[in-house]
Amino acid sequence: MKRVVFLLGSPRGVKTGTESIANYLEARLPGIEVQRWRAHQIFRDGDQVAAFGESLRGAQLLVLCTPVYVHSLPWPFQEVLAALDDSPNRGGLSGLNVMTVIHSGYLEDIQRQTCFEMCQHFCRETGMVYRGGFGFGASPLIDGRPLESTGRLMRWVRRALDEMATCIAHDRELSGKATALIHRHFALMPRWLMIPLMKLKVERDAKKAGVDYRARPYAIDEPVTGTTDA
Amino acid sequence: MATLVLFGLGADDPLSSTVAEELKSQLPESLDAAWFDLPAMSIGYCNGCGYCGDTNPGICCKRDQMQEIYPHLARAARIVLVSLVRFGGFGGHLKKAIDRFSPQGLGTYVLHNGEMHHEMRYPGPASVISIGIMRREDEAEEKTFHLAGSRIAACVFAERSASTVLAPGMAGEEVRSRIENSFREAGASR
Repeated sequence: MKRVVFLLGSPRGVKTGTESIANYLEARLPGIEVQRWRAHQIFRDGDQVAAFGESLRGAQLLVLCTPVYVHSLPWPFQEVLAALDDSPNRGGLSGLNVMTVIHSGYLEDIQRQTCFEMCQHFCRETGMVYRGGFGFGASPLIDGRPLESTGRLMRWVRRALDEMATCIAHDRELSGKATALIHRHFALMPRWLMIPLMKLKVERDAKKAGVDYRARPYAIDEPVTGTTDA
Repeated sequence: MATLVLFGLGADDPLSSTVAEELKSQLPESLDAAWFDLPAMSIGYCNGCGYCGDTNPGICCKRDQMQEIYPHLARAARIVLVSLVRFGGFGGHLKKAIDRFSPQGLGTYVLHNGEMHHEMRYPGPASVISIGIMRREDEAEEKTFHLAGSRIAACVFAERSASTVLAPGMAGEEVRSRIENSFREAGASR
């Protein structure tokens, strides 16, 4: 049986857009064993890097699926890639195929470019084979829901993932069709409309929660209050 | 000029002391510099809990040494980022701190230089300077590092930015020249 390994980059837990993407893709890979690893758990639950590296041996593909954190890969995700690269056994990973799905709130491709380039450098450093990937914005709108239930909002994301699943099933590089499909995502939503709509949502949520969303707690000479152990 | 230095090199990292010395020569006391040696600090990673955006806007809930950095980040007119380069991006110590920049942004978006960005909670710095140390020379990763530096600068709405990449074995004079040029390019030279 073919085996595909997902490495998920969201450090937020299991009800995330990243998990929704992985769930959707996994459901479209019938007959393929999918193993899922979460980057933040690999370190939190003891050092699981060796076990993760072992899971990659003999796999057909590694899927890197991650949100963007401050214009780059989230720290736990990057650390797992670095640990793999530093591993004395990394030679055994040479030739493994890799695909990427990078998502963020921002719509512009440039906002995800650093992540794509870093994943490609990781492949080059470790001898893995980059087989393509795509990215998309507005992913906070998924809000941890199943992609199937997001209606028209994520329809082009679903179709691009469908195409990715087809490519995986047929051992192909990610096709240009997937990239073309994802470029239709939010293509018709002008940013001048999206920005005030999102501002209205923030203002409404802040009012409901009774908080000042523009607060400046770390301004010098203003006391920092309210930190918790949450 | 309030300057924040996030120094992500440990004592054993290549060029660590050379870069530190050169930076200090660029930052006389009159420039009001706050210097943080990140590898020696206890800083947790951002787990995207949303506390700083929804529950208590602008405040990070993690009680660790990042709390010492936040007030300086809020007022910095110049930010200097120093790090090893990993896969073309910032190395782990600096990246962990950068991920914790989230409280700096509001939940709202604006167009900035033609791109969507979170609005800033505080005025952005005048300049961001990124200095990367590579394990070995690599043109492709160097290009990515310049991109990573420019993206961070865009993220905090810096008016100007500059980045440079150094490699082990580089002569002290070359290190000095590259750092000086970065400060000059960012409009931040002495």
